[in-house]
Amino acid sequence: MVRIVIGGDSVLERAATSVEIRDETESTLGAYWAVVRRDLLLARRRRVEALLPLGFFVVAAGLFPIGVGPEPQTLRLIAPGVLWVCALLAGMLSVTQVFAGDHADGTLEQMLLSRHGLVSIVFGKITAQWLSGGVPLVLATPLLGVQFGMSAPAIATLCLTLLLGTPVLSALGALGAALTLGLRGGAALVFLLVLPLAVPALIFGTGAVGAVEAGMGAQAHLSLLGAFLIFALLGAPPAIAAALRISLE
Amino acid sequence: MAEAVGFLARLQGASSNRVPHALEQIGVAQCANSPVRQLSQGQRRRGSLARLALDAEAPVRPWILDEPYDALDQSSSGVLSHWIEAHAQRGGAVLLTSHQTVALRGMRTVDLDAWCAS
Repeated sequence: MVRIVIGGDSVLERAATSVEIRDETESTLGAYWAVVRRDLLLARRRRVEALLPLGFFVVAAGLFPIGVGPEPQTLRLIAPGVLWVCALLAGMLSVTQVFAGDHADGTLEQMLLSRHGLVSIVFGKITAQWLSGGVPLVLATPLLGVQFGMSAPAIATLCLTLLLGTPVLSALGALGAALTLGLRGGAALVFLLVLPLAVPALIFGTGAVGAVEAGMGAQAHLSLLGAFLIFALLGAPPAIAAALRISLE
Repeated sequence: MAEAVGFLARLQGASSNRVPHALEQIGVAQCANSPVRQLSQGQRRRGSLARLALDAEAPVRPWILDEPYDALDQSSSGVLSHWIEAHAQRGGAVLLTSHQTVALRGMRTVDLDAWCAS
């Protein structure tokens, strides 16, 4: 029998620790995917509810040319701002209720009791919310851009900024929803809480499109928007988890 | 209902493979694919109790059950007793309240009436 011992017990101990850490990561990821899959499944079952923000986005953006007048020059000028503001409001529309259902049927308590970190579960909720609420808005944007007579590079930039900006809205909106959980008139409060926080995303998002249309690069605006996205995605989940714990105490 | 029970099991880090078996044991296999809102109170209750059967992994956790025998028929009560005893055998503690007389192996009864506020 050949027995090889390298480094004594400490190696084995370290190996055991790393296995434990991997188990922990796997199970945390498992909880994350479980939440994402469940929320997307729920969104698919309630299709009308899930597509309401998209309908609002298309209708609101579609009303502007009627209200403002059909001059192509004016429309091209206001398009980035109008589309961004409409996307902002449509995004808020769906995010205000992100925790309400789970709160009502007790799932939220089970999430708080879960062995895995609440942060990963919250992150799963944000991801699912963005996939079902934010991505459709981004996909509908090119069509509305064409309606406003925007140029192709401007439309591409607008889509890119919305792709970076809608997760920010999902994260901030979920934070507002967590803070106002169980309050009467919570949805209106979420608007008041979150819209001011989302203003930087609006400024950089429309600024990028404006820069492209003026013939300059959108690099600076996109970088700032990206930084804002990273900040929101890193900062919001722990804050949401804390807010949920407070609201259920 | 199987989806809901499976989700709650995964949330706790358990595998959802044994969900159909657990639902069958407690006698609600026929409504595994029904939406929870269409189920009766008793069926929902048995569905939520089925989660106990999925909590079989280490480390063993204590169970705290508030009147688990409420609104259960004879056979479901038997299944629940079986699960509780199996859990105790694994070294898990179970704390439960009940209005009925329950016969479980290794059980200690505390009469709460003595501490009742008058």
